[in-house]
Amino acid sequence: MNKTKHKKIKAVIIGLLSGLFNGFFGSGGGSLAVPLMTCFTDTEDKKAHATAISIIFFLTGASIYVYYKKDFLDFNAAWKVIPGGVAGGLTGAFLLKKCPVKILRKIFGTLLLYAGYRMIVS
Amino acid sequence: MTLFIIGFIAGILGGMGIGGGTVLIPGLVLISGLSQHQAQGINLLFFIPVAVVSLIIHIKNKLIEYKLMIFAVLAGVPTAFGGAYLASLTDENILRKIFGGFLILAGIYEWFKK
Repeated sequence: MNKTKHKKIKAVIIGLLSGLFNGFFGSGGGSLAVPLMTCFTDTEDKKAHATAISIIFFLTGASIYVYYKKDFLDFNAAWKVIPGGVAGGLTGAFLLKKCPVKILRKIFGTLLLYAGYRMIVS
Repeated sequence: MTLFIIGFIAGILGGMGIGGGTVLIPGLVLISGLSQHQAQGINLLFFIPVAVVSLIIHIKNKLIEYKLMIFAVLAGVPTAFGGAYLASLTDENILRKIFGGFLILAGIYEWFKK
């Protein structure tokens, strides 16, 4: 009984933080929710990943509403980016079986450091 | 075409589970000159079709913990509204720099996690 109560409180905290991130950064809710879930609610990796997507789906809906009202949604650009993303997503899922993800993560990390630096100085 | 390619590259990384938005947003801002707010908006829109497809698969495979989901959604929807509103009040330059800081932390995390 006590354990389920704790789990509910943890779920609420995960929701609060992911929502704030999702709205403010327009991203990143998942990279927060997944590790929080696996660390604090002993949810296995696959389930944490799936549950995070289901949570962020609703949070994204709320964020989109505000971005739409504030006129931050550039639909013209979105129609070009999203088809590219879908094609890339399928390619990525296919490549996953053939690529050394460990090395890719290091390259990805380096790319993030560089992009972060550019975003700060530009 | 540039927009399509940026989407494609972000999609590849997303499909591999490495991360999509963290590449998409700086790509859109640094390469195609969208504002930080617009780039974040596109990332939100981008997530919806991807999420629908993966949720259909996850529901079928019974991988969703509904109890966790319901409590997190009830708590998170108000803060998502609040966070998005806060972003709308934040100056574009400042929001971009804060996002840059967040990318650097994410980059360090990628290097050091096992």
